[in-house]
Amino acid sequence: MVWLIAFVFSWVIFAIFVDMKRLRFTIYGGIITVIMGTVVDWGGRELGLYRFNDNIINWAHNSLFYIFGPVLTMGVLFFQFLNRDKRIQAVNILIFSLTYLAMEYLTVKTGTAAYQHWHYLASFFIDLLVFSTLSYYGEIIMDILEGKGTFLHSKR
Amino acid sequence: MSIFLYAILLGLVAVFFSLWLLYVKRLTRKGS
Repeated sequence: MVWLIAFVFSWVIFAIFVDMKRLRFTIYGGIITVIMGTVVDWGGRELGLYRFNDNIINWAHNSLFYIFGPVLTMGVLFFQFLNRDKRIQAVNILIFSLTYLAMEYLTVKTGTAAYQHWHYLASFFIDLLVFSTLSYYGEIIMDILEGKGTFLHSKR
Repeated sequence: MSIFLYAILLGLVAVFFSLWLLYVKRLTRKGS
């Protein structure tokens, strides 16, 4: 049930904010976060760092509703909301990371996720690293796909 | 934590997240 609620909320936010005209480019953000989220959480479960319960439909030790809910939609929105102003982008990274942390905290408190050898701070810093990396590569990918950015220009 | 409380608190998180997205959207629109 917890995963379903997160799934519904994430798709509501997605429906409100998604730019359909750019979706054919920003979808790559979602694909990357789905791959990263799946591999990292599969590894975490295999190593006994944490586990997920009540998955409803399993996806590599995780819930399908989590990976194709918050993970997919926030990946797309992160690419869509990439900002060339470094200060705004820094806050963007912080807000996305804090949102993930809050969602994870609530999920653990319901017992749907359980830490075995893990800590909230570890999650938070991994989130920060993931979104920082996505910012860097996201800008390059979006520049190549939309063909208008600084990356391509700097090569000339 | 009950599912009901979870839904309410996650809803609050969703609202704050949406407010940030709205703010960035407005900033970007002003800048362009």
